[in-house]
Amino acid sequence: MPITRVDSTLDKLSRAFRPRNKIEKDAYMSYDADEMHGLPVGVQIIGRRLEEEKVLEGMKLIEGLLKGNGIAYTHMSI
Amino acid sequence: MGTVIHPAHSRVYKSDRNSWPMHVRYALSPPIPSACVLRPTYPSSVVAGSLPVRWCESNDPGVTNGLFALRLPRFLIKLYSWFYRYILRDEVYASLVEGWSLKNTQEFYARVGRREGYRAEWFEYWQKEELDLVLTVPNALPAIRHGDSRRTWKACGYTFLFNIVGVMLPTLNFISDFFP
Repeated sequence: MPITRVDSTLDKLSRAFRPRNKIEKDAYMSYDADEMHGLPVGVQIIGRRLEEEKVLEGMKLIEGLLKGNGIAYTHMSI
Repeated sequence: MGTVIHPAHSRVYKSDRNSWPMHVRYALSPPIPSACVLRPTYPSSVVAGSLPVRWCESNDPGVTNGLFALRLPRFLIKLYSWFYRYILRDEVYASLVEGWSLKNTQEFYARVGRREGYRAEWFEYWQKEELDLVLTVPNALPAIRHGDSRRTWKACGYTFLFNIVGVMLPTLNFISDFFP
């Protein structure tokens, strides 16, 4: 579920960052907080098999909590 | 593999934890997969992603990369992994590259066995901690530029990882719960 957006100031990669391996390095080569500013960022909820209802309840719970704190995700205006 | 989280995601985790005090219990420390557990599914995910291409179409750049490597002779793959292990000292990537070849049935099932072992570990863990749900990020990066998957395909999504874990062996519980 979408939860927030990339923010070009908050989510800048720090200069001190050094990737630990090739995989991380390649992933971060594609990361650019300025270019990605405003893109949705999500979380996912993992449940067990055949417990889909529980997962949906969990998503409702998180959505409710975000709304309660006034930081609910708003969709992009087109 | 897959342990890449970009800053926006880590911000979600840090900032919002205080607003979920009733429900979020703690940060988990689940069993860590060793690279050998993930290796069997790693090439097959690329092969699966490469099937429906007609002659006039181009494939995803990441898949093209992966398939190119799968078609190389094994000794080249071996040399490449040694280069990463002994010269660049990158054990994680080297161990993934090392297993990057098509498997015969015997090799394949040996690896499937290891994966099932890991699943069982997760199952035990889930039972022991009495978890309801796990909150995690779906992928290392937000949406990427066109063509960037030629680099980022190596970092597997967390959705993919949790599908491997397949959370888990449910039929036994299902039967005993519903048909006592």
